[in-house]
Amino acid sequence: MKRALSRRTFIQSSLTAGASLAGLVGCSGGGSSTSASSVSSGGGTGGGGNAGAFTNPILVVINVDGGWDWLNVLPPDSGANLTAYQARRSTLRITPSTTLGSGVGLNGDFIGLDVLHAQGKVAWVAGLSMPNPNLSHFTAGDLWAQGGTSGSNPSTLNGTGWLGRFADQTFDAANAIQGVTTISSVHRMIAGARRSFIPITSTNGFRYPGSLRNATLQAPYSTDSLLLQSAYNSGATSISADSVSRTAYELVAKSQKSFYDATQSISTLTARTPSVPYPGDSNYINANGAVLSNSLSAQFKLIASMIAANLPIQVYYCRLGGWDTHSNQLIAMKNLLSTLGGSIKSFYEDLGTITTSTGSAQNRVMMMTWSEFGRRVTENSGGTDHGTNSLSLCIGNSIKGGLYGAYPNLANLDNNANMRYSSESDFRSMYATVLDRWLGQATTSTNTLLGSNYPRMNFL
Amino acid sequence: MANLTPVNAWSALDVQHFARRAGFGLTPEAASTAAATDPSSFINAWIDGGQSSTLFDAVYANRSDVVAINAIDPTAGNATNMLAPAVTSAHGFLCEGPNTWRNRLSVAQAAWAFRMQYAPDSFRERMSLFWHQFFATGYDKVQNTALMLEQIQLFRDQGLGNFTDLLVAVSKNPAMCVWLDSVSNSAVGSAVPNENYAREVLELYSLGVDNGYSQQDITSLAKALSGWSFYVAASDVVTAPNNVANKFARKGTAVVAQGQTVPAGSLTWFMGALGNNRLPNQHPSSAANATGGSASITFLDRTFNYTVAQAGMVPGEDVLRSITTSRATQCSEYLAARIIGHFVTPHFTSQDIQDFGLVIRTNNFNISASLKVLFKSRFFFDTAHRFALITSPIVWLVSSCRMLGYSLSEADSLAVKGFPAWRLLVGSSEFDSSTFDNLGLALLDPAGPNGWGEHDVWVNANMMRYRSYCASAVALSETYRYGLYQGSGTSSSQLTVTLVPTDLNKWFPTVPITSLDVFNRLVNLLQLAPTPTSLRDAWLNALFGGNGISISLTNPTHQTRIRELAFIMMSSPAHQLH
Repeated sequence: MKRALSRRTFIQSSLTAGASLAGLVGCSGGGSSTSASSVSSGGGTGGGGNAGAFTNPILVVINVDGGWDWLNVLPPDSGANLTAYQARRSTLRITPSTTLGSGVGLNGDFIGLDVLHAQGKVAWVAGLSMPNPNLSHFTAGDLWAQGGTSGSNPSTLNGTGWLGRFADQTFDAANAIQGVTTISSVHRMIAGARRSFIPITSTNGFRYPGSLRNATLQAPYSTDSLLLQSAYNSGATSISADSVSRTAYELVAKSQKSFYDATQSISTLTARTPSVPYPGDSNYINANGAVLSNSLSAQFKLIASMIAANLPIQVYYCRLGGWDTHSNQLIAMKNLLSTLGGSIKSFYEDLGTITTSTGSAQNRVMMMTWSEFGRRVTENSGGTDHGTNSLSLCIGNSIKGGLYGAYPNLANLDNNANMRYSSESDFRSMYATVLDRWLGQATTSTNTLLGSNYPRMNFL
Repeated sequence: MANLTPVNAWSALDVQHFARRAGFGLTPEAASTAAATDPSSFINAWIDGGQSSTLFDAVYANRSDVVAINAIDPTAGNATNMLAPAVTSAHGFLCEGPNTWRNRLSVAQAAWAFRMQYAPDSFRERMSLFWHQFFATGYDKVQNTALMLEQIQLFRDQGLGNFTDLLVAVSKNPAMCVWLDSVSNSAVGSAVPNENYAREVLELYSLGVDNGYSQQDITSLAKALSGWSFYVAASDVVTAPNNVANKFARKGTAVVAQGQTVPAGSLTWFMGALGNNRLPNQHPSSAANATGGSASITFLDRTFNYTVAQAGMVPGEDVLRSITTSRATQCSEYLAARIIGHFVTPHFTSQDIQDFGLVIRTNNFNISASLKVLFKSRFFFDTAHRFALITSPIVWLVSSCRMLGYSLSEADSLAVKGFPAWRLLVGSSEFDSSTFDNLGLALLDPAGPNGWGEHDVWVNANMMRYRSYCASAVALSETYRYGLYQGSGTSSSQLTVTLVPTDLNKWFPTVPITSLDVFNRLVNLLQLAPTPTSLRDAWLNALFGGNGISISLTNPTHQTRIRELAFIMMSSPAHQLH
């Protein structure tokens, strides 16, 4: 179980809703922006020293954390599935407000996604499954993260995640920030063997040395900033002389170096005001009276500011938690869906006002959600327990909208009354599609990364 | 195999290793004193604990919080409101008892951090932090600081006795009952039991994921624990003085909800009225009213009638207790892995787990007896385990404050109290609790029951970023200016506090002669892992001009450089290990 709707903001600052965010510009000369190795399906290498050199397509991964009850997001609206659904969900069933066709409807509280769907921007990849599903948050999350295989079972690949392996393969050693997460922990999905994504939860005061509560180091210490920086970097590049603690020492040193290098890459702060209201902002129009969280909004605003600054970040990873609705589901899901849908829509529109080196950011960014499992088809009192199969959304201007994957047969559940696996909707097929057709990997490269050749899906 | 035979002698460095792992650190002086006692006696006394301090009790209750509290204005339109005034002088942390209504996570975090720093029974505080990581329960759903801190007190009171008893007590604990939906779990009539708590009991609190239980066992345990809930006695209802519609529970009364009558004025767990003073009926009294028409369950290969309460137990308790007998090996080895991974080394073998698991079973799951064996052992004191673990951010920060900050009596004797301004360390205001989250361990507020993990989960660029900012606060006398709101019509005043008051002279009981002396003393005080000499020399060269530079503690420039050295050392890789 994960906690209910979080009202926590991930930006540490005194920002009020709608206020401007300190944005970033990329390094303006030589060095770290020179990146010849990134594969870009949009063409262009990263040569040259200025911010305009970064031309890669951008992926924004959204972790819908807790195992969302996607059956209530895309409920059946006809046929045998509807009959089965109504029998098992006497209290919690959702009557959809629109239909996606093929016997599938859309929950009317998913505000924002209805509009994007009508514009053909949303691929609903339903029934995403794995051969040996696990009902533990941690284990299921690990399996989604790894995206690997040994035969038909996802296996541990040195503890790395599929996007971590992507980072290992394609990120440039000279470029400290190419994969960023907006939360303080680094999920296995974005952990590589050599490179992991770097967490940046806020950009205010992103420097070393810094203070905890003040914008800068206080006098008299502020006069020695360069000296302290140099001393920190020395520590971050040192190797323990002591064999006993060496491994742990070097693990810490490496992450300190990662922080230090990031401070060198992000050289100036400029403000960026979001161009649209986001959920949680005082001027956001709350269409259905849901209780909205600003936690995902804050992450999207941060991401938008980094995109606007042309930072060479190819993949972003953010998170909205609270989906483990064992109880109080109707209210919780209304709030969560309104928050998720509204935040995604605001972010999409905000991107439309950002011009990057290749043109509108809206053409350059694709969003992809993932959640570690769906939920039990049969409801309990007021909520649902852990289940199998999942739904991901792929959203963007390049997406061919529609229903993909394989919506499960609700009359043919497994022995625990959970949805069954289908090879037509193996979750790794979605990864393979994104790696090939968005992130510009060669087919063979993708197949090696995932450990097998999964059929590609046609949403890209 | 793990050598669990006890050591028979120890040095001051061994004592420091023990205190870093089993507490929040001891200064070199305190460690020297302790080293004069034989390890077995010292460790027994440490683990038995029970130390108390009237000074600590008085300080904690009355003046531990040095941060002023804003006035709270009445809510417009409620005729019975009154102003909750600003509190300006040092006061106790206001988050429990009659102050439950203030309900600020930041204050609860600060209160517990203060206790970790100063409570006389250091081991109990350290163990309560371990159990919080083990039974990770989150404020974001419980929404009540008093109930959260009540759970931590449960860990202090019962965290060193029998593990089965602890598991039962946690299962009845109100904060836990809210967190994992026990309050919503019904197996009466047509209700489908809520599996949330039962699943996590097996996966996280006793056996480990998929380790000797099935989905059927989860469902059975969920039935057995149906109705394990609480109500709020009238005397435990706390009303907000600025809005009488807001009510909070200062504690809960555990009960198995079977439709029984409770005293008038009692409220439900969600502070609602009880019709006819009756609790809901969530745990069946017989097969007749049980979901599915059967009270028989099979749990871990044994059959129970879960409506029949064994003598001295509430209904379902015997089913829960059977975990440690039906799966004694798996449970003891799961505990062994969690304990060793937290207190000894990240590199344990399956043999280590089996060996310590056997100790746990031999001691009938008594936690303190098992830990005495572990902490006295050659396995624990093995040099291969020194500085092998990455310190969790809470232990790191609290220990640093202990080493560089004032003692309790010193801090209390100052006109402006010398305690850290913990409420401003955890966040920029009472509404902000982001520091610990950015450090990686949001105290009292985990994202889920899996908690956080150990060792390398404490290390990423963001966490190191915020550790360095905390190092700045601790070593560089950072001050913070904040506004105090004193009610509408009164202008706010600006107050300045030092986040972590420190006296540099207290870092050096022996006056240092050279810059190298300064370095060596700080290494011993901060207890750094071995640092490359080339790095030491680089720092001393940059800050002082060399190793042999004469030092005067009264020279302001030297004071600045010494603090900067402490800051650099606290920020360095060697300080993140213990």
